[in-house]
Amino acid sequence: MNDTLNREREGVLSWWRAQGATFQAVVPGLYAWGVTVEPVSWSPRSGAAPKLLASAALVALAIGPAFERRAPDQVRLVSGWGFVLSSILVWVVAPEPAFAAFDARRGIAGMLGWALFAFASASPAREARIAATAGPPVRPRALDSRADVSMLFVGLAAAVALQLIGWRVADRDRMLLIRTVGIAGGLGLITAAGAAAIAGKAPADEDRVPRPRRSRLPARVVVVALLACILVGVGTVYELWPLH
Amino acid sequence: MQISSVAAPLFLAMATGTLWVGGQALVEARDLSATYWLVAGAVSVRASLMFSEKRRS
Repeated sequence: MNDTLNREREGVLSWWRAQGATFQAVVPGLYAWGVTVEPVSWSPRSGAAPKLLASAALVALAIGPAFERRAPDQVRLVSGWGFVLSSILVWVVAPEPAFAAFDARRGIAGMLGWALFAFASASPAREARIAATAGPPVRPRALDSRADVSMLFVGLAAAVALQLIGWRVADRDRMLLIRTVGIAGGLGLITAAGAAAIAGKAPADEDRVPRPRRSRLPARVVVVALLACILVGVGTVYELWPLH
Repeated sequence: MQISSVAAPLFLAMATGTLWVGGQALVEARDLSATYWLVAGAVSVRASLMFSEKRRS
């Protein structure tokens, strides 16, 4: 009985994995569309253009799985960007009153939906490839000290904190800008925290993959660090002790 | 203790603070101030990444 269930489960999973990247992104894409695009475009206050663009987004999402096998790269490009750009355009052309029902809770749910869509599009589940695992096993670079793990969590918490800013801003354009800046800043913080956490944990010599060495200029590091300090210092002085 | 092992998390903290202040300035429609803090935040993120890279090498 259990064997039959396991076989069925394995069958469904391998069928799911055999589908392309765009197929796996359909469910999170539909969720993100339903939470953020549909309420704005089908609001009684919005006109024909948002409805047309929202429908175009759905069509772009659907053509991915339908045609991915014929020309994977081109179809992924058209489907992914068509879906995202049409959804953004809905927000750009929809009139201000159409956003009346759009509150912070819906915004956060929508952000999670778009994050899931991005994740499913960028790293779809794949069948394990034998060629990739041949040879000696590769050891992961473990986060072995508590300081490293806490640095990673601090970076994550800071990135999440940036997403809490600006949910009550009335001006739609400004709110879009704040969201874009928040997401870009969050990505930067997570990247920097991850890099700082695994820094110093170079892979063992036998795991090291040869790659072209980039020239590292200590002077460049010092200049950027100095510039950051100067910017923060000048900004702090002017913010705390305004001279006017 | 190497400077880079302290500098990377320090600049990460600096980036967090500046990006937060920049975000708040953007909310309050202080555009010039927001731009300033966001640039400072981006530069701090870059500095943190550079120090991490140095520590790793």
